[in-house]
Amino acid sequence: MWKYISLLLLPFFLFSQELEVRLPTRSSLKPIYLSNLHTDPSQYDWRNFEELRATFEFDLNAGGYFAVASRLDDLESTFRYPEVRAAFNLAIWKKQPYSHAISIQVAQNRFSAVVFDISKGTSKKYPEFALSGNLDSDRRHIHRLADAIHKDLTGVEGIASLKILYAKRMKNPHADGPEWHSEIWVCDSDGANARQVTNEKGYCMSPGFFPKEKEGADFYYVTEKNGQSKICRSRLSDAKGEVWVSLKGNQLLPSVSQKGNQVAFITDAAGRPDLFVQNIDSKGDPIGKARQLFSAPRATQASSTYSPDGEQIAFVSDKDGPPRIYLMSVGSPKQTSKPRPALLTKKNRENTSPSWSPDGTKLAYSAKLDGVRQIWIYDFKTEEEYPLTASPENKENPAWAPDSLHLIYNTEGEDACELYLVNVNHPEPILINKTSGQKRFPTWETR
Amino acid sequence: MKQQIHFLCAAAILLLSACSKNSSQTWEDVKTAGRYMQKGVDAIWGKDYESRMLTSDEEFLGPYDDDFIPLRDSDLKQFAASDTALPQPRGIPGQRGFPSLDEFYLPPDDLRSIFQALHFETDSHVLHDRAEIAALTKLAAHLKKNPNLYLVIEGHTDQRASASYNMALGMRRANYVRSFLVKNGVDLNRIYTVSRGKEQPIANGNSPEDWKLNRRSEFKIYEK
Repeated sequence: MWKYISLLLLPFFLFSQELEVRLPTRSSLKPIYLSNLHTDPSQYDWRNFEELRATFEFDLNAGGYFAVASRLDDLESTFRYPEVRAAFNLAIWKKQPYSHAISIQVAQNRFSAVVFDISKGTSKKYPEFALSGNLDSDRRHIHRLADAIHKDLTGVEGIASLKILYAKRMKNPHADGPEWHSEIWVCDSDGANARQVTNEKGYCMSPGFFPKEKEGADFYYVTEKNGQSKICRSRLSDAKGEVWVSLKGNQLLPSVSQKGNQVAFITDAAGRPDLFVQNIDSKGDPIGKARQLFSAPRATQASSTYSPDGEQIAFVSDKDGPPRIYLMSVGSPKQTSKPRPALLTKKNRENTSPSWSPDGTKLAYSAKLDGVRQIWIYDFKTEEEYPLTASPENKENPAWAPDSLHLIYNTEGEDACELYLVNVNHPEPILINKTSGQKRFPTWETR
Repeated sequence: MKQQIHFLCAAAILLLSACSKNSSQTWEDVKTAGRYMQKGVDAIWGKDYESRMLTSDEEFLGPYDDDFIPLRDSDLKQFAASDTALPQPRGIPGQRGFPSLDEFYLPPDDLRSIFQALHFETDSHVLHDRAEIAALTKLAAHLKKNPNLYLVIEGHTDQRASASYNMALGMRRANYVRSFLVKNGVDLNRIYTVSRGKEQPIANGNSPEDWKLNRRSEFKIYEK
């Protein structure tokens, strides 16, 4: 009997394939209404008004909780300026599907916003701010306003006012020297207001912000200015990088713990690409010697990321075959047990660029699936791995925003490398920063 | 009994086939699982392949000029002979009479055959081609004959893996070549390594031939 059942099932075992079923789901984003930007005649360029409204809409949409609805003439006519709160007709809005309506106006070059909670029938006016006429500066005010509204409506800090660091790779304009240059740039969370913050005229990669409490430097990065790869630190306001981790050989792929008390990196100081850690003080200066944390025969170690408490580290190693992500304790001088790396990501091969979410619940990484590197999530609670992206471009270097809800990553193509913002609950990636050059290794400002 | 055997056979078939997508991917998974489990079994019998952390910073006093706290000797002894770790050169490039890496240049045409680029298999840092191993041995002899010659080894990769992993792999390749030269008698203080990962390809196509051209180690020299 068993013999026949086994033979009957054999073809299914041999030719079984993973079956992926996608079901359409209704969006859980709450629809909100954002009015036209009502303006009085002023000196400010009207084109910038449209830009400011677009920035505000982008911020509200990208926050991950709301979807800004299309504007309707009928509804626009219900706003009576300048005293918009007094004339607000709640009865009309109650018939609409929106949870909130936001009216924005500029009067005498001052920008103001009022948020109406339609279900509660309440409203709140936000502090006005003066428009300077400098679009970059005014956009920063808009980002802060969007974050304040986001916090009030959701209880969660928004990400609109945070900055993003990244490396920008460009063809070397000079005939002599290498074909490519790469410098570190910073931009707003929507990709606008981009500016170069290093001036190495060489090859810079892997930038990261220091936690806010650090003094003396805002960010770190890897540069090949002197031939070998060294980890440097610098300020956003001053492009004078100084070597931060001084070891012989090359140092690559730095990752600072979320508490800001340790940096992990890969170095060949001992003749192989090994994982090292270096303790750092409150000013960001190294304390004592760097420690060789992990090395394995014939293996290559690569990118690492700390758990929020700084006690564990996830890192890439090919010690057992194709590169995968392992987890091990960082240890402390008092620890007596032998720490051993445990294999974490088992579903795919070629797993790289791990990034631990600030709330500690998830690990984002890049993994090859059907020949394309996609962004994957490892959920520490369920111990499950699932893909976040599906488009045909290779994707690398995911980095979590402080809200543990948004990721930024870069695509990696022969002609273009672009930055994308994605919300883990609504994974429709948004392209940001449509400027020239190959944008890579993005990372968020910490809070 | 017979039923149990049939059941085990069916379970084995299920295990071997259920996760399969194609034969090469399955083989990679089997290799990974095998190595991972073998190390676990060996650890039960006291054979420790893994490196380990120091239990305290004071526990190990490194060699005189160590500028980091290394893993224990007992851990590093497990490393294969072909994978010996070598300290970096004593001199820092550009300081105290040592040449800056910017001063290194491509070997002149008459030396190009000695300093020819070496090529690697996918995701490997070990040379397998006999002709290239012979060329590297010849290079070691040339460096021994010319003690004023300094060398920079650049490790490159093809463009298929991620940029970050490729930087580490390029570092691995450059250090493997350095280790080979030192074992063949070249002074380790004259050889520097750098990794270029996939950042400086020489072939921009997408064929296996292009990838192989990019998986390379190149040399630059400086004569004091």
